Amino acid sequence: MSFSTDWRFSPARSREIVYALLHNRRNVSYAEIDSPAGHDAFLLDETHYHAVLRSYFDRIEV
Amino acid sequence: MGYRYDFDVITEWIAPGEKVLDLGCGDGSLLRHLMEVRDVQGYGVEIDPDNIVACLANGINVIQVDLEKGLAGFEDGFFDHVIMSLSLQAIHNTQGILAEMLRVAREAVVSFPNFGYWRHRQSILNGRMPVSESLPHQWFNTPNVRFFTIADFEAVCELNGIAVRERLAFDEGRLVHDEPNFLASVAVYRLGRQG
Repeated sequence: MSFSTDWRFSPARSREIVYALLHNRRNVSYAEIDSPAGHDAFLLDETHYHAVLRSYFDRIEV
Repeated sequence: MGYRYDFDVITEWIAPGEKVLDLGCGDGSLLRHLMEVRDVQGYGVEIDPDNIVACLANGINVIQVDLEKGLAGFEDGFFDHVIMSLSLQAIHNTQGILAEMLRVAREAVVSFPNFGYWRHRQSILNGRMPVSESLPHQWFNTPNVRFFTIADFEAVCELNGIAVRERLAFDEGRLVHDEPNFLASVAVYRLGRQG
C-alpha cells in the first residue's frame, strides 16, 4: 500500500516490491491511496486506506 | 451481476495450477472460482477503490493498476492466461492493451458485449441507444467508451497479428452457432499470437 503524494516511501518503490513478490509467485496485493497529505497520510482517517486495511486484516487466519 | 455464464467457458480453458492474471477483475469472483476449481495462482488488476476492497475481502490478490497505461511492471510471458472479462469496451487504448496481454501471457481470454446484436440494432433503428442485459447502462452513465461488434473485433485482431484460436458466442446465456454478429449478445475469445 502506498499514498500517491508520499515521497518518503513512493508508490514507484512500492510497485517494485509488489512485482518482485508477484514474479516469485508470492501472494501480494497493492492499493495506491489517493491523498494530498504526503507521508503523514498514514496517520489520517482516510476512508479508502482504512477500508483496505480492514478487509486485509479480516482475512488473516490465526 | 449475479451468475456470469462466461465464467464456465473461461474455466474450461484454464488448466490446473496455471498462473492467471485477470484484468478488470471486479470483486474477484472469477479468480475466486478459478482458485477453487483449478487451483490457479491468480492475480487481479483493478482501478476502482471499492472493487479493491471487495477483492481483499474475497481473499484475492489484487493490484491497483491503470490499464490505460499498460502492464509495464509485468514480465514477458510470465502468465499462462490473461483474462479480460467484459471490460475491453471500457478501455480507450484497445490495441495497446491487447498487445500487452499477449506480451505478458501465452494466451489471452477476452469477452465483450456485441454491439451488433439484433436487439441492439433494433433499438438504434427505433431511434434509441440500446439498453439490454449485456449493455445494462444508459448512454449518459455507461462506463463503456468503445462501441464495437464481433466483426469489428475480429478485424482488429487480423490487423494486429492476433490469432483467434476459439470463439464462443451467446444470446443472453444460450450458445449461438449461426450468424453470431447478428444473433449473439456476448462473445468469448481465446487469443494467441499469429505464427
